[in-house]
Amino acid sequence: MTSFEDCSLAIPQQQTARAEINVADLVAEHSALLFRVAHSVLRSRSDAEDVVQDAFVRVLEHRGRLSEIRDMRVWLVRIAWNLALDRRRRVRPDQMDAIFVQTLVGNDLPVDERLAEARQMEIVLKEMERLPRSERHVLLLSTMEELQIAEIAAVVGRSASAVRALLYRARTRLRQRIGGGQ
Amino acid sequence: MTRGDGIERVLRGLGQVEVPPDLERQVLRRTRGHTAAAGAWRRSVWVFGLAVAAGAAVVGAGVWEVGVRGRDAVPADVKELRVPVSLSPVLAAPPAATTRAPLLRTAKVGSAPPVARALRCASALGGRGWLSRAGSSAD
Repeated sequence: MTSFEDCSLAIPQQQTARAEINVADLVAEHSALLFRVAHSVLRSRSDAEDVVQDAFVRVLEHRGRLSEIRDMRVWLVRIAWNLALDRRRRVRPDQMDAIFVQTLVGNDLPVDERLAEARQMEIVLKEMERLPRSERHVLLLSTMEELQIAEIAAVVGRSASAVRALLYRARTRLRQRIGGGQ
Repeated sequence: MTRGDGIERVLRGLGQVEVPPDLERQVLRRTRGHTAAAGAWRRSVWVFGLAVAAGAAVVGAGVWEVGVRGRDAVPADVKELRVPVSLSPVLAAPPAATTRAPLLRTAKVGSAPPVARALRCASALGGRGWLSRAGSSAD
């Protein structure tokens, strides 16, 4: 019979250490991007932080198959993106925007100008919510400077040319709607 | 500022949002906790598997929990793990397996010899420990 030396912490310890090293490297390399991706959907810092944590827990749950993943960055972004979309279903858009808008408005402006700017940003965000879903998704992902068109295409499951077309349509539609409101 | 500027500012703001300075630490803390829990689960499955493979007679009724404290394999911010373990492989383990670990200082578990031996083996599993009925409080 196998002794208890063999069923001590030795086996899990090795696995645990290996998993932690890998995850630590991944966290260092990708957590900022995942945070921005989640924040673009949720526009809430605390919710975005939760999504990043959840994304890396998913990584741990799949750590036995990490070597099979061809593009780790796209895979991670897709996890964070889907987690953020899931969480987003429980949040009303008007609850998300007030705090985020304040971060965009210059503090050095007079109060009346700050209010006008904040109002304008809220209109933009509201119009973004009204875009067709596929256009809104690629528009949000395109705000991440780190992501190439091909990577966005992989995240949303479209071709690169389709993503370019959706992006063009989203920007055009947004400008028309906001311009029409002037 | 024009309306068009507003669009670009919003998009730029979304893409360049400031990342919390302690984000990595948060994530690692959460994943370490998850890893520790997963490790405990693997151990419990393995030990139960050992019992089946050995065909050992179950001495003492039921399944017990062995608490494990204070080993390097457990991340610093995880204070406690509970590892379900069948009494049968514990009792069948050779005495040499228990000599590596320090003697148990826990004395609240009763004096029955099977329990005492099980506790020594729990010690080999991970330092100081205790036994309690599964589902009951181990403290």
